[in-house]
Amino acid sequence: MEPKPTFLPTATRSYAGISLHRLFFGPIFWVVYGYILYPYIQRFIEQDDMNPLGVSVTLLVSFLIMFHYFLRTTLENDKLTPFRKENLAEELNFKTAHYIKKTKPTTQDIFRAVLKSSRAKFIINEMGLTKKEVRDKLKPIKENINIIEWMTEAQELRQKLGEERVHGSILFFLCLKHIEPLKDLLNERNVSLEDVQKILQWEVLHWQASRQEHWLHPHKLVRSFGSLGRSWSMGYTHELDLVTTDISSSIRWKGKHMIVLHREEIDNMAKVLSRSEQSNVIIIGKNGVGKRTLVRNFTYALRMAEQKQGRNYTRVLLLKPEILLSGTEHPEAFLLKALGQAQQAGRFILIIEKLGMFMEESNANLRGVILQALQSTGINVIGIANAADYHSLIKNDSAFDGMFEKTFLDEASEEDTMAVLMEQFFKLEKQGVNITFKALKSIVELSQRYLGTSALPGKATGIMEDAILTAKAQKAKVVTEAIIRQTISQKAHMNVEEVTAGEKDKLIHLEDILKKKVIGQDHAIHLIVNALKRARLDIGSSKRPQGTFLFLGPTGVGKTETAKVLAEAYFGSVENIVRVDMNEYGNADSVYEIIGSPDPGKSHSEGFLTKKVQDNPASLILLDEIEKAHKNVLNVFLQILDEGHLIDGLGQKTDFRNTIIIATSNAGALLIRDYFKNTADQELTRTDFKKQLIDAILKEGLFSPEFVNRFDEVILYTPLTQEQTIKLAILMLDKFIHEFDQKKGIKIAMEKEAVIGLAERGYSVDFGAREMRRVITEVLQTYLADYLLNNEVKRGETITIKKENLEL
Amino acid sequence: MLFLLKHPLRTAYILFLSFPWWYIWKVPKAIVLKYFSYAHAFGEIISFSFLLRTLFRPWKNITDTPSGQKGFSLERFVEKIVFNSVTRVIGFLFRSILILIGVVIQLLCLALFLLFLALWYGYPVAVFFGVQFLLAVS
Repeated sequence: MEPKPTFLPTATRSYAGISLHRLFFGPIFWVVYGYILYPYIQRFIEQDDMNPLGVSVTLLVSFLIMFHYFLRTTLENDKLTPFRKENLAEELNFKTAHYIKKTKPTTQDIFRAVLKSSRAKFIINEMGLTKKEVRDKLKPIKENINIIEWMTEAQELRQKLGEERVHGSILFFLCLKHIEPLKDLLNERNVSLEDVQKILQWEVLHWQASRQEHWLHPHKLVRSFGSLGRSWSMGYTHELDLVTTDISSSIRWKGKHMIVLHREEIDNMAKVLSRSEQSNVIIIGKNGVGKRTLVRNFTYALRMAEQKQGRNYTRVLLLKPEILLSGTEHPEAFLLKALGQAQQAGRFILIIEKLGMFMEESNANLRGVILQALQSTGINVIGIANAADYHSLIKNDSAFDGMFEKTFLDEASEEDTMAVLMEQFFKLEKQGVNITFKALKSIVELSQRYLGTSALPGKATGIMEDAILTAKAQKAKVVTEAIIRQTISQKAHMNVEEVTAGEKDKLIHLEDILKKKVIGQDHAIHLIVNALKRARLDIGSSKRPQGTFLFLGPTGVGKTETAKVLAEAYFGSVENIVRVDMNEYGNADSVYEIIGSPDPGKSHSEGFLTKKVQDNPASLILLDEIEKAHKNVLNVFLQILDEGHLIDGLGQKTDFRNTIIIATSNAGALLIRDYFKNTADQELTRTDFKKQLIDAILKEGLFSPEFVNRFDEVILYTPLTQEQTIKLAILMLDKFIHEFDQKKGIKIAMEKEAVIGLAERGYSVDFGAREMRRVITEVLQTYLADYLLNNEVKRGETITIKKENLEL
Repeated sequence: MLFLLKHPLRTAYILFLSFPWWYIWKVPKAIVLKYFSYAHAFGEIISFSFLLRTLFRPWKNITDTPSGQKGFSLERFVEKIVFNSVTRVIGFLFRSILILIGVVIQLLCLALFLLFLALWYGYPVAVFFGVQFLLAVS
């Protein structure tokens, strides 16, 4: 039968150590030591005889040093087995045991231990709190706790973390979990208990990372001096050394990572490179996915394995193509000689970064030398390339491509990225800027959301380093989410900062602003603005474009005008519109003009749309007259509308999640016109009519159901009524008069009847606003031209226009 | 202090059994293990096995390689023999010196640890004589 668990702090190994320490190094024994030494001190003073005093002091000091060492190694050592396993107080580490001495400790005893613990301080800092804030929160709390239950839970947690004993950070976690008032701390900082558990795991890593071996430690000596006998068994490689960097020489110093991603790929690489034939590898992946880090981790693993197995070291050499290509007279002859010399010297692996570009820059002879090296049994090559370069520059050369074993690297998960960021942060900690857990989480989420062109973890580590530098420049001690959003806004060329008071005001009044500029389409504007508000405040799916709309309606009712006004109001400029006239994509091959051709020989190797969005990820994409596009082109948009990205012809992913996509179509225009001639104001019937219209369009085969279904909203654009036409006329006239005043400095005053007359003339159910524009041009502008020709009008004067002037 | 009063047997065990055992066995064992780790580290730095395996190999693999000339040339043959022998001798010299240095370092390391061990075991004897001296003086 298992003994019942107890909590007896005074019966522990740690407490024995504390007690003996206090006894032998405390005031009582100093009195005893003084009493022992006194006769010899007296002898020294009276008879000037140093010997007895010297001997006694030496004996005493040496004994105390030895005893102190004994206590440290046998009683104050957290790694030793406890006196009794059922005594849960033995679970506490030595430092914590100083503060928890009662058999039934209260919360205040636990808190004291927590506040004195440097390990708990890490958790506090990562939560964005200060010790003072925590102390103030803990002070008023006086609760009794069931220490047996607490310590049992603490024991399970420390076993899960792989720790020897329970320390202050584990106790702090338990306090947050069980003490109700402390949960406010979590809510204040918007941190969940799961987050704190993750921070706890990282604290263990941080503790391990911060423990440095002393400089005379055997491992440090081996790292410092290397292996002389091994290096002397390798030959000179003067020429190859000129054009390469040996990354394996210092890898044991710099190469050890606590977090190693892509372990399977490292093992695969080791197998491939040990083959006698076809022993070359090409690593393919997006920028930031960790290709170079993979090579370094592989080099480290290789070096450690060779050391363990007593094998000769393999040098891993990174080629410097700029020196080879520009610094040598005949690169191919130089490289051939250098590789030949190196093969004699010993085993090496050659790494070629940006392999595709290197092959493109090289002449045919140099490519021949590389091909020869790839075929050679004594040389291993690791190539590094991104997906686009691989598909366009390497894959087409089948002889070259066949020499490599392909290793495709996938983007790291968010959890792995967090771990990588944490390890990176340990290295950057010395810069004096702290970064909280929430901030790290924001980095991962926001970089994933807004930086689609590169991959995790590279883009996140880049953001973190930039954010720390920004914080240092702003003399801030902590990297906040605001700094991170600022950094990402700069990198992504779009505003991802928190919605400011001014912006909130803008979003609230956006609907009114748009309604003033686009006449007669209030319902459409309402739907669009709602979608934008949701997108700007990060509500809803982050895996699709910010808003996707299909505008159905006759010509000239404001579909394109809505897109222009929206781009100006939301993105800040009409320049942010990517306008695609779908009329030009009416045949099957047109799809390559959108996404680019996989064949680099073709003229559209880079797609028009993908390039525009890659350059400016926050755009409004306007697909005009979409019903005229070929169905292959429409199929491309299925992926964009549903998943928010597009894989182009070169295998590169383009991120559409920060775009607004508006497709306009005149499909069903006649039906709409006829309907609104008869029953314009019935909302309920409008909904039914929309359904009928869509059914009719689908029946006609203009769009497929899956295509229409992918839009957030299908919006009906209605023909303008006469009243709306008058408002439109006023809007157009205001704009024209303003531009005329700006250009000529001459004001125009129009009578109400003249405006109404123009509106009546320009009203057309079939042609909408375009007819109004034509009327203004033909009637008003022509009149003004004639007037200016026949009259002397100076700057600052006003031309008054009456109805009869315009012959309406 | 409470521990000493509440657990007198355990205190006695710590002071009169645990401490002597630690002194006689645990620390000397740690010293020996430490010696072996340093000996292994120096062995790794010098790499004796590699030096012995490649003792007569040409220094830095520098050899007079065949030129691809057709036919036998006595002059060329003798040149190669002499050159390759010289590089082997140079290699042997360098490696032998390093092996010698390595052996000296290992012996020094051993001597230091033996000295430390001797001092450790000698300390109680020194204490005995020291106490005897103090008692004689007083």
